[in-house]
Amino acid sequence: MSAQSATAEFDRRPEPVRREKAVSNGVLGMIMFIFTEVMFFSGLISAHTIVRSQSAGQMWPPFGQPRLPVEETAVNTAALMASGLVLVLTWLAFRRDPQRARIPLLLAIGLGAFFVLFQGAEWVALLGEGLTIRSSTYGAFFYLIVGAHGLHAVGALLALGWTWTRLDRGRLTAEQLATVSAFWYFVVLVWPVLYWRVYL
Amino acid sequence: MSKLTPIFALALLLLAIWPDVAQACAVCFDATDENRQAFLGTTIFLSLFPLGMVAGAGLWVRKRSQELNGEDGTVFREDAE
Repeated sequence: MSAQSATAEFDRRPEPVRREKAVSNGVLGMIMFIFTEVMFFSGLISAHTIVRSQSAGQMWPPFGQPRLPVEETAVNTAALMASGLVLVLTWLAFRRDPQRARIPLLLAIGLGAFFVLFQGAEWVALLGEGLTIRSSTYGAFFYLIVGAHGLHAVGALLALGWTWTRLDRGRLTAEQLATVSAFWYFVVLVWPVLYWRVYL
Repeated sequence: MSKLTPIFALALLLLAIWPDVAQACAVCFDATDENRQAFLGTTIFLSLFPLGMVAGAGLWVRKRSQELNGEDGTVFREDAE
C-alpha cells in the first residue's frame, strides 16, 4: 500500500468526536475533595470511638460534664436533612427552568442557616454550663468534631449564597449548581453519623 | 551473577521484613475488650472505606461513560462516513 493510499484510507475513517462528559470537571474535583473530607471526619470519629471505649464501664459524659442536648439537636438535624431534600428539589426545578429554582434554593439556604445558628446557640448554652474545649476529652472531641462540621456548613452556605446570586443574575450553570450542591450534600449526609457517634 | 542470586536476595528480604508480634502501641492491647474491639473496628473501617469510595467512584464514572458513549467509550461522527 502506497503512502498516498494509506493517507486516503486514514482520512476515510470516521472521526471520533467528544460528546457530553461523563462527569463535569467541577463535580469530579468536588467528589475528590469530599473523599478527603470524609477521611478527615472518619479519623476524628475513629479517635473519638477509641477514647470513648476506654471509658467503658464508667460514666459518659464524664462526671461533672453536662449532657449534650440530644432532643434539641434531633430537631436541628431534621432541619438540615430538610435543607438537603429541598436542594434536590432545587436541582429538579433548575433542570426544568432555572428561574423556578430561586425559591427552593433560598429555602435550602435558610434551613442551613437555621442549623448553623441553632448550633451556635447550643454552644453558648454548653459553654455556660461549663463544657469547654479544655474541660475534658469529652468537651475537646465535641467542639473539635462538631466545630469542624460547623465550619464546613458555613463554607457550604457561602458557596450556596454565591450560586443564588449567580442564579439571580441568570448566570448560574448546571455544573456550578451541581458542584456546590455536592458539597452541601456531604455536609448534610455526614451530620447524622456525627450525631449518632457524638450525641447518642 | 548467578541465576539464584535474585532468589536468595528475595528470600533474605522476606526474612528481614517478616512480621513479628510487637506492642508498638501500648493502648492497642488495653485490658478492656471494648477498647480492643474499637481499635480493630476503626482499623478495618479506615483501611477499607477509602478503597470502597475510590472503587465506587470509579465504577460510577465508568457507568456514566458507557451510558453516554456506548460500550467501547468511542463515539463516531455519522456524517464523516
